[in-house]
Order: sequence, then structure tokens, then C-alpha cells
Amino acid sequence: MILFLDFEPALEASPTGIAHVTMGLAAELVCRQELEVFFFLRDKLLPRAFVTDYLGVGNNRAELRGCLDNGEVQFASLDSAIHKFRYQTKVAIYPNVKFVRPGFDFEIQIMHDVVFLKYPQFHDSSVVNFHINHFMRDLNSNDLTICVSETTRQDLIFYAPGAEETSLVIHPGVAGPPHTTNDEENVVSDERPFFLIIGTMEPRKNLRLVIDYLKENPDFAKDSLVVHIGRSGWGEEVDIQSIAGFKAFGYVSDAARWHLLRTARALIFPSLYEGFGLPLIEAAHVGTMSITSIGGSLPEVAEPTTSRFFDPTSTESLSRQ
Amino acid sequence: MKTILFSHRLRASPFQSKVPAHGAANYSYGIVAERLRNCLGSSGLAVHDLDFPGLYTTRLAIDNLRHRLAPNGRLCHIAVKPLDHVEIVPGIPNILHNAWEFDRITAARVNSDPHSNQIAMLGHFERILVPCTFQQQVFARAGLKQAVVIPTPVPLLDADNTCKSDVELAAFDFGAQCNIDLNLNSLAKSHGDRIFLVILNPFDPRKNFLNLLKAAYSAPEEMVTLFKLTIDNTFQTLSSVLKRFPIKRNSNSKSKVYMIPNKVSSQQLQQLQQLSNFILSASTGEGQNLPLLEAMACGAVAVAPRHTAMLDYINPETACIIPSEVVRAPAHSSYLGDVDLRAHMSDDQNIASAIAKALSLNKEDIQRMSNAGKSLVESRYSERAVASALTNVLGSIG
Repeated sequence: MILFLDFEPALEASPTGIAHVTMGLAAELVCRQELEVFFFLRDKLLPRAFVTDYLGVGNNRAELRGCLDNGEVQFASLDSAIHKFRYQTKVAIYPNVKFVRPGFDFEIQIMHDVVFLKYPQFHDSSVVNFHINHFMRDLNSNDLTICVSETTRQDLIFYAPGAEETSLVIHPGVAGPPHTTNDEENVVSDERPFFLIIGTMEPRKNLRLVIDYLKENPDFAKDSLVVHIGRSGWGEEVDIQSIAGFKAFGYVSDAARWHLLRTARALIFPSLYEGFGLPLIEAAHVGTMSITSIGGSLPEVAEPTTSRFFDPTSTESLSRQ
Repeated sequence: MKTILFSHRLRASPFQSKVPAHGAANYSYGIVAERLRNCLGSSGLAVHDLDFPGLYTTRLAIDNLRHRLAPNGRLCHIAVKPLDHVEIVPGIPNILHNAWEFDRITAARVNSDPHSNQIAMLGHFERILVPCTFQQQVFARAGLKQAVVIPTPVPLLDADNTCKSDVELAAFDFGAQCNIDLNLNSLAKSHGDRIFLVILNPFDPRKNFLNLLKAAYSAPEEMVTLFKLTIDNTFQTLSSVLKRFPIKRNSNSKSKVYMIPNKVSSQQLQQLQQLSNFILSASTGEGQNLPLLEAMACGAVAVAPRHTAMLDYINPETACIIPSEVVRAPAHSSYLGDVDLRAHMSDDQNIASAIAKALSLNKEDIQRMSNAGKSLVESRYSERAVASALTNVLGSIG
């Protein structure tokens, strides 16, 4: 059996959940000597050295992506590889949408969520249309669909009755052990204990609830802080600089993220809906408690002994935690 | 004791960039939701609005909801929204209100969008509240046996809301092609037994606006037809309606046609309905036809075809029946994925013949038909009747 992993999702400029899952999977596969594995980007095969460099801790991924864009990476043709292994079983793993299907024998797709169908209002209509156009086509060509949570699987079955026959649930794990961090990684120059929020600034992440809570509870900022990390996204513009007790640092390095996770008083996860929720298991991994929404998969993912739950439509519910 | 989780607010659908608002015009999905919600409240049920029912997907989340909203009872989710907006709450009964006016429903899928597989989407609900017997039968043929007839309640005549004072509405005189202030009392004095009311969205092909306008405007009889347009006048102006539907008038016609394009209060709407002797509708298919039933509740005699939802309440005892024939449904329906859907078309001659028949009725016949219509609406469509039926449905599920 020859494995082909679609590496494209890992090449995201500011990697979030799907990119981390792809990199975690790739890191696992490159270590497996017993497997013959190839990594592809659309119709090209990536050199294995490029992949191992890209996955390497401390390497400059932006520079490596630049090499791809500048034509400095020598590709082989994916079609040639398919032809070369024509008498062997070729299994493809797509960690996200399928852009190419050159003739694999068995296709596995990882389904992270179907939020584009369930809550299309959280995204630009062009993004929603893109995913809807791919959804049934991808699903119908899957031999196996791996859902990252039971919630995602149930959502999938809701929209595509019959998918229960070809789907199963595998929860993602923490993408690599966190290396030791030190004070240099600390982006928060504030003595107050802080609560951490990780996620792109977008409507589904429901930052609005926490901001409303801070406005309703001005005393919170006297001895505590809410720290947000994550890239800026889309949706309603919020003047976060004017919110007492709220600091946003944008997208930070992996090391800084792990440092913040270790040192936070708790992780707050206010999302209205998630297909999985990687930060919850990352927090659990470093022993930090979570105060998490009950939206979507989050109660399925959160470690019950170190988590408290609230309704993401209610600031009152949040304040009780 | 059941606690109802009521979801009715719309979200942006996959092919829209803005969240659609419930209509600024009279009549919209919002009206249906509001009336069913009131009905549930009047049945003594605790009703909580839920904007994101689908976010409660896990046992823990549903237990949290139950603990918060129904600590000593059971939860039940009722959705009143179009199919491409629906979500379910797993683990509790889910009920959907849905209206459908065609003689079949299929699993056809459009644009790869799973929402358009209507049978699959409807199949997720333990009960489907449909407003008429026709739809229940269509759904049963498609294997959707869980459909039960629960119409949207129709307000009965408010005895205190009679047209006592001078009521003026902004209107457009179609014959004179000018805007006027239409005084309802003066109109009642001049044409008190020959006033027809039409309530519709002229842009909705199912409503058959063009044929209605032709029939009313070219009628040889002395009569007045009031077209209450249920359009959001901010975006779709009356002039755009008229440009789209140029009408030539017969030289011997004595009829008057006025159009009322703006939103009116529910009180003014009921006064319009009371003022009118006849309510005229020539729809090619209806899920219920609220304007028709509301005017019947106010005593107007129906002039309407007998098909789809109207099979439940249009008959020779209550109405002058407009003949209709089965044709291919208007093109707009193709978005539903079934280009062979059928509709029931009445042309202007069919409508004109029913109008002539209505005008030939004597006072006793009109009174008898008016009473029969009012009585039928009260017995089947009043809030009390619907609440009772709804309570039975809720009692039948676990």
C-alpha cells in the first residue's frame, strides 16, 4: 500500500486547527519507516526533504513557503507516481477539501465540521458556496470519511443521510509535545492573572460574549485580564482596545502560544459552534483548566474533571463560571 | 409539562450575504411564527426563543438546557422557518412548521446543496405541522407520514374595530394613474355592496396578479377592487409593479381599481377586510392562504379557486368558485429542483366569470355565504381551535 497525504492544508500562512492536524498527521507518517508515504500539493509531489524541513521545530515555515512560491522547490509529477505504482493500492488522505483526484484506489477525507451548511451566516457567501460545491462531490467519492468528533459525524449524517455507513470518528490529538518555554516567549507584560482565548477573530468564535461580560463586569479588570491570541478574521469590527481588561496579541508563535497556555489561569472557549476545539486538549495537556462553551463538539472534547461549561448565548451563564 | 424551545429567526442562507429580515410588508413568515408562538403561550406552555438550536449537540449541552429551562418537565423544539434554515436539537422531539403548495415533493437536490433535498430534511422531524389536508396527503405519498394538519391561527373579527371614524389610506388610482388618499367610509357609502379586496405580493407568480388585474380592471360592472400589495415598498416600488404589468382597459369598463402599496396596521387591515364585500384570490397554489381566511373571518365572501389548501374551506356554501386548470408551475418553482411541478391556473376570463357570479348574488345569498365562511374559520382556524389541535399533537409525542 502506498499512502499519499494532501499537504496543502499544512501550508496555511497562520496555521490554525486544520493545518495543525495536517502537520501532526504528516509528522507521524514521516516517522513510520514501514510505510511508503508521499506528500502532494495539487498535481505535484513534494520532496520529502521539504516536508521534513517544514515540520521541523524552529524552522522558518514562511521562508519555506516562499521557496515554493518562487519555484525553488523541485517537484515530481503526481500523475507519474500514480502510474509508477499502478499495480499497488494507492490510498489518499485529504485533511480538507479535495482539489485533485488523479486516480487513487481508496480516498479518505477528514471532515472537521459542516459549519458552512449549518451556520453559513458566520462566513462570507463565497466561502460558503465554495464548500457547498465541494461537499457532496467530495463525500460521494470518499471511501472513508473521518470525522474529528461525534458531533461532526452527526452533522454530516444530518445533511447526507447514508454517510453513517462510510464514516467514523477519530479525535485529533495534540500536535507534537510542547517544548519547554521560557519567559522570552511571554508576550503579556502584565502582572494580573489572565484568562486566555485562542482563535481567529470571527463571528462563530463568539468573542462578543466575553466582551459583553467585561462591559457588564468592570471590576473584573481590577485584578484579572482576558488575553486573546489568534489572527484577525472577518465579521463585526469590535473596538477591542477600548475594552478594560481585554488584550489582543494577534497571531503568535507556537512557543508563545504554549507559554500562554501553561501560565493562563484558565482557557476560555466561548465559541458558538466547533467541530472539535484543539485548544481544549492543548490546555488539558499542560494542566490548565478550561471554561468552555457547550456549543457543538466542545463538551465532547473537554476534559470533564478540569473543565467548566457555560451556554454561549448567555453572559449570565458565563459569569456563573 | 412541556417546555417549548421555539426557533423562528432566520439566518443568512447559503446563497445570501445578508440575514433576511422578516417582512416589512404585511404577511411574511414572521406572522406565522408570531401567531403559532402566541397559540403555544395561550395553551399554557412555557415558550423560550432559541436562536441556535443546533449548537446543543451533546448530552451535556442538552442536559444544561433542560436544567435551565425545564427542570421538572420535558423539552420539545418547534421550528418555524424555511427548510434551508432549520436545525434540530438531538435527543428531544423536534417539530417543524412547513407549508407546501404543490402536488408532489421530491428529493431532488440543487447546486449540491443538501438543504434542497427536501424529503431528507423534512425526515429529521418527528412531526411536521402542515396548514392543510392537501399538503398532508402530498407528504404522506412521499413517505412523510408524520405530517399533521395544524393551520396558522386566523384572528377573528374584533367587534370593537369597526370603521367608525374616517380612515384614509395612501393609494394609487390605477384608472387615473395618480396617487390619492382613499377614504374608506366614503368608499363604503358609494360602493357599499360591490367592493372586492385582493391581498397579494404582485411579484410572486403564484398569486396570479396579472390575470386578477386584467379581470378587475376590465369588468363591465360598477365595482371597486382594492389591491392591498404586500410588498416592501422601500425596495420594490409601485411604479416598478406597474411597469412590469402594463394593462389595457376595455372601453366599456366601469370598474375602479385602487392599489394600496404601503404597510398598514393590523387594525387598518381588518377595517379593509370588514369594508370589503368580497375577497378575491386566484392563486395557482397555496399552503394556507391567510389573507383569504382573514377576510372570510371578517365576513367577506370568498371568490377563489378550489384546489390545494383551499380544498379545506372553499366550497359552494362559502364561496364563488373560480374555475382553474392544471398547468406546469411558473418558472420560479424550478429552484426547488423539480421542473415538472404542477400549478392550478385561472385566466382572466375564469376570474371575470366568478366576479360576475358574485355580483349577481342577492343579499340573502351573500349573508348566508358570509356566515358560513365566518363559522368555518372560527371552528377550524381560530386561535382556540388551533391551540386545542396543537395541544393534542404535543400530547401525542414522548
